[in-house]
Amino acid sequence: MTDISTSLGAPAKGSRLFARAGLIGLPLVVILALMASAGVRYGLLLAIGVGFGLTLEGLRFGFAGPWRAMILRREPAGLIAQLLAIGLVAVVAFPLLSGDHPELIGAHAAVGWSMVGGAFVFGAAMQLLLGCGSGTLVNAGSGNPVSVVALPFFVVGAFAGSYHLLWWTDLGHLPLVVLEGSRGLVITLLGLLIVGLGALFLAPKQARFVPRRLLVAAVLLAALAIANFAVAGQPWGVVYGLGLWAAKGASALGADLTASSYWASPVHQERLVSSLLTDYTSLTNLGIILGAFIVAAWRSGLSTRLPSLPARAWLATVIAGFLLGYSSRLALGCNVGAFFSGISTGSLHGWVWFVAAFAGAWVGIRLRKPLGLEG
Amino acid sequence: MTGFFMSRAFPASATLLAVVALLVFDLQTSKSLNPYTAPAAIMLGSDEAASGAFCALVPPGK
Repeated sequence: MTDISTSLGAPAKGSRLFARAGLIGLPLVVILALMASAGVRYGLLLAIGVGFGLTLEGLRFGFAGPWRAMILRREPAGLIAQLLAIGLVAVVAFPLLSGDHPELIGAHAAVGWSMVGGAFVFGAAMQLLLGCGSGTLVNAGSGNPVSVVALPFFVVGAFAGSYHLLWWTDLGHLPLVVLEGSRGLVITLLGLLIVGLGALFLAPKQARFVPRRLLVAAVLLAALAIANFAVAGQPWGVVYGLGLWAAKGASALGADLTASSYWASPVHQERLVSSLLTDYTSLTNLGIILGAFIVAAWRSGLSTRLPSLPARAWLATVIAGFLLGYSSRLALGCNVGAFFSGISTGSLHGWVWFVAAFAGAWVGIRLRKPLGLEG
Repeated sequence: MTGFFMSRAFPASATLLAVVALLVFDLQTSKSLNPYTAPAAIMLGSDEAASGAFCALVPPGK
């Protein structure tokens, strides 16, 4: 039997060039084929998704890990890089949304009970898995077994959460608050600056710097998010696409999704009968998985030995995966759709999400050891 | 060298296979792709309405 870990992980010099040519050629062929068979926009979004995956995995840019580093060791570098990326997107997104572009929408949602609770649970679950919305996709693509096990439950949870979403939002919410125009942009940038300076203030002196790798990643991520916004007309998101995957499966198995006010709406009914290859968030999600796989295979990372975890850790992974999906729908987005895209397009719910999820992360970090997830 | 089933190559390959299976299933059960009815390459500057299929957007209740 061919040892794939050998061929992908540490190929002989002669075959390495061939393997790497394949890793470059594979996404190019898939993107061009999609452009030809479905339309240029869909190929572009898949390409943007691959770019997200390459950036996140290649430059080790994440959300869950930096929050853990901030909470446990007061290392602010990763968090500051996230804030920088959000600020860069905001500088472009605010003028576009204030201009005469009715085809563009921001990640705007109202702050409500279920939104806050969902963000708190998501923060805890993402620390249990050490993977957020985008991080779980990246980790699954690069062969992290915890994320591979969690991902299907994340998908099912996102579907279940969206199925019940209107029941939860009916529990009560504030009016929609959106920061707009130059004033809104200044307030947003000031808010990001204050959080960043606060993180630096709390950090020990030796940790008060941001590595160049993370600065480059923040700029690339911002550029890709802006491209996503321009091409799709909506900000970068993750969990809608995941919920749609399970919804299509349930529908194919005969489930009547019109019983859900959410899935019965015309927008989502149209998505259910259309291909995932024409759904914006599905395309970037698939691209993230592919991009992360390419980086991991390129680096020979796929030869890394799998960890040995106790049974309770796998059970916790399954439950946390489901909660990650369910809570992210209640929270009206994950670290990408609510935190990154919400703040960068002026939605107050992005800021509230950040506070609630950070509090949840503090709890999740403390649950890892009792659940056997610390190895 | 770590064997295939004991290395990250196994879960990574399983993920890619699952993605391929998802897409095969999707193409079997969804409307056919048609590049001749495709929207403009870029939404910005087009006259299209936003799709509304996004994490933050909640449809009105029944």
